[in-house]
Amino acid sequence: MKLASFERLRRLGILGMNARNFILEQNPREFNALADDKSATKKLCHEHQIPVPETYGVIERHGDVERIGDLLGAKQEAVVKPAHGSGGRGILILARKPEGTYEASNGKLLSLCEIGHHVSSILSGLYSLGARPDQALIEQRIAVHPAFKTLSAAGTPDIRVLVYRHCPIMAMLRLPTRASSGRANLHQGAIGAGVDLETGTTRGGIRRNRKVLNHTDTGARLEGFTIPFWREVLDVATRLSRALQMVYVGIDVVLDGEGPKILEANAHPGLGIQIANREGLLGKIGEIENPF
Amino acid sequence: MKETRRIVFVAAALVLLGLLLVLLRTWATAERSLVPEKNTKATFEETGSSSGGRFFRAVDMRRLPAEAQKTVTLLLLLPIGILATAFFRNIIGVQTFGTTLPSLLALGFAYADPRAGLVILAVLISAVLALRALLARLRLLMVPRLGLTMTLALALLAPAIAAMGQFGMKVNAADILPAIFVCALVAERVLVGMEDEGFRYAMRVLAGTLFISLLCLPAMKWEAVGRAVLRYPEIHFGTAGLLILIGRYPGYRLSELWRFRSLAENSPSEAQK
Repeated sequence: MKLASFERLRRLGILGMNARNFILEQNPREFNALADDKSATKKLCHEHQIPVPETYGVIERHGDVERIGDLLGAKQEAVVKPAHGSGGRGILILARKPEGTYEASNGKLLSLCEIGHHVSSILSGLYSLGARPDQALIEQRIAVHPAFKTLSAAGTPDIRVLVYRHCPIMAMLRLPTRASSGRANLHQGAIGAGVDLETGTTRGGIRRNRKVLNHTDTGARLEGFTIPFWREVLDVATRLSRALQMVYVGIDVVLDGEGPKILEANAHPGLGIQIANREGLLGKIGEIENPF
Repeated sequence: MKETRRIVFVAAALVLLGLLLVLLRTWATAERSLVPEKNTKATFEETGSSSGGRFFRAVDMRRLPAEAQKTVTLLLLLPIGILATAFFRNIIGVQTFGTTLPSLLALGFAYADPRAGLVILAVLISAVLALRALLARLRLLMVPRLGLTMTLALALLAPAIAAMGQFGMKVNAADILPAIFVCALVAERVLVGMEDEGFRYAMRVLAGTLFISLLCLPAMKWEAVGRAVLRYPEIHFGTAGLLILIGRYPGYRLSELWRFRSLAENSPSEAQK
């Protein structure tokens, strides 16, 4: 495969890692921590009436792990996730079975005790970067909008909206695959499909930095799919970026039958979105000063 | 534009300052060679009688006792590795564990027999990988699990070191302890990296770390370089200046030519335009 040239990257206006890090310097430090904390982000969303999946409870201390039974209550489905997890690690999707056990998304049957152990692991920082102590979020499982049926084989598709100075500048539909074990992160093998900001229509996809035309699991075409509630998707992403006061932030949005809900914010959004859109970001944020 | 230019100017000034000091001291002490001879003590007591020469001799690191000289030399060699790491990370795009760890690793290798250093690293990393798989079913929490893995890996190192002694490598504590310390740090970073980003990521970053440390190894081993930094520690003004320049480089990393390779050619839609 042919390498790109500096000239070519410059002409496309591709944002490189060094330049991105200069832009991230403009983000206020204290809001970085806020964006990386899913529990804090949700609280902020509530304050600003931005829709999020309903929270059933937050477990913060090992002494409270037993509360997991009460929090799950009679709910048919729920998601357990670490507040500081990254890359979709440590997320448990549960469906209630009649015998009082829960089925995880990988098909394993879990008792309340085993779910409690998972919560303990989350609290002790197993899934947070650098093993820092963490909190466990127990929340509503989103029933994905039926339009995505042909595009999802495993896991929940989401939409990454890149927001610069409270203006959406690029977006990508992220489709989990079996190879990515149901996670929507590009570097784990999920498919990214660039999205036209005006229309919400996909432009074809990439997987592991290479172009793909069809979904690797379902075979559905990746180009020409129109995302429902597109205006609302951009609207919630912009509103959260305002609430977070971030200069440059990636916002992940999920869609169910009712409309968009915020999944999380990302203070260090990746650069792969440019490959998915075959378009550079520099055109939208202006040149970074180069003294050389 | 003004601010950036000023910072580049400061960086260039630092580099020049370093060079100027080197030249000044060479001239004042009448010791012309940039890389001093091995045993210069006697000659430089005699040469240079100006007051400037006396001052510069008074601050010369080589007046320190031999053991202290060795320590100071090692300390002064570290920034060379740090500079190389910064260059390879930000300009080339090699990933490493930490900024100082590659040079510390190189130092550990330089201190021990490099072969012994590599054996220690290989033993610790493979032990850690095997133990991780074995201990997974215990379902321990993160910190005790890391602790147990590291404990067992270090315990496995004991027979390995005994064997190395049998094969005639130098294994006395003074020589290989630094290597053991740094390799243990690297092994822990590999473990944490695997938890955070997976096996492939950890191996890639380990390879980058090892690559840079092996690249720095000749500089750390080569006595002439050691003597030069001990004689002219002011060259690190230049190191600081170069780090500032790297820190202001917003351009593409070489690795990004590979990363964005699928954008190398026009897509059909672009061709139509």
